[in-house]
Amino acid sequence: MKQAHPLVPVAIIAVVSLAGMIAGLAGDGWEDVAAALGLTASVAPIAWALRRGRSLRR
Amino acid sequence: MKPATLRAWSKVHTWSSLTCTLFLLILTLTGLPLIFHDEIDGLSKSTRPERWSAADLLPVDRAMAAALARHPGSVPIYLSFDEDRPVINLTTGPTGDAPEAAMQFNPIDLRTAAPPQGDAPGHGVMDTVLDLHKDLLLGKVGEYFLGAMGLCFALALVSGVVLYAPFARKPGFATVRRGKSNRLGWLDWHNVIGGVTLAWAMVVGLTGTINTLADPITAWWRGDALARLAHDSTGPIVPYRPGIAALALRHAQAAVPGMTVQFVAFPGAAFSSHDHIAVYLKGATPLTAKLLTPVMVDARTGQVDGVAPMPWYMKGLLLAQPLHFGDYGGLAMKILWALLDVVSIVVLGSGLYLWLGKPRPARKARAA
Repeated sequence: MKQAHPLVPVAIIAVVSLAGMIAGLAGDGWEDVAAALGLTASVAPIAWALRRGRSLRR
Repeated sequence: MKPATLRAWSKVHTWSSLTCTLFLLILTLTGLPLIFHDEIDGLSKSTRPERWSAADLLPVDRAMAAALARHPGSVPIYLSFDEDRPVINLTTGPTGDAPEAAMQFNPIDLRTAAPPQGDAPGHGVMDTVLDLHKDLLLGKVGEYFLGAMGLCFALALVSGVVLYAPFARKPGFATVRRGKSNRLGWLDWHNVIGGVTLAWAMVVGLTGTINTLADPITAWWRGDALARLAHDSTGPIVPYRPGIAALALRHAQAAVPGMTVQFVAFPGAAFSSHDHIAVYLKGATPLTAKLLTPVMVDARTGQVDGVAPMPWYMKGLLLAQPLHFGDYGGLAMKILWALLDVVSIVVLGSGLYLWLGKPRPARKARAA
């Protein structure tokens, strides 16, 4: 199977985060949820890497 | 990518990062409390929200007259409204076009026509943190310098992504290699965090730079779109007439229904003209609340003379502020913004560690 370009996940996370940040400006309801989800896309891989690191050590 | 190209990008990344790292550390540390400025400011205020009835409030003009009576010979320059209490803030000065240093700030309670009780005078801790974040306490020079650091940061991010691509193939996305060496582990953390926070860091960096250019952008708008809207005359400043402010507010809000008043600029003020009262209206959503609409009201008759939305560059400036501070999406967004701020400190620290711990032969070889 052909491996995806290493920047593909970075680009996806960037687009999702950006879309969330812009959506958050538009209103106070679902827009705030979209903003939080968009930013979570930036934070989640760090938590995932931390968790994976811990399980690899065991 | 050819080795020579890679080396060139590596140099760009190293030096653009090193140039701005110290200042970005200051900005990320001072920016952290600023994300929660509403909550921190709220700690020093009464926790009980104020309640009032519209019937108990004095007309704006009477409250303004009370403020002006405290400063004989002064004229109104700006007027704004508090959101959480029935208080107006009247800025006065000896003339309508008085410089900032000659202006006086007068908060007036609409229930009593007197200054509100319990207002803490002076400069709070958060104001000092904001000044440090805005200009390193160096005024305009510091502001423009930090704007340049924001551009350096953007360059460091772009070059970082270019460098990350060829090296990310081996370990895979979001993998931190352990056990080989501390340096390798920190390099992976630097790359992973830098990569996943790219969009956020780019938005915060570039909007920070835009914010430092607020003065020249606003000056451009005043000479361009605002001057055209006001079709300004070079005649004398129309004197303030009691009763005209309430009339201007009423007519401006009727001209653009569904919007509320953000602030008012009287004749002679930088945000108005010599013969207009400029009423700046805002919408109800976080987006439209930032995109102000100026309504120019004739200062003699109180009739609306012109309405126009802000041009694109002013909209960009007005939106740069919430996008920089992340204070528009509730507490969840603020917490995530703070987390991203903290992890960006890790990226800066790890970058510095990687540079300082670079093996000497490698540095010498590069220098050669």
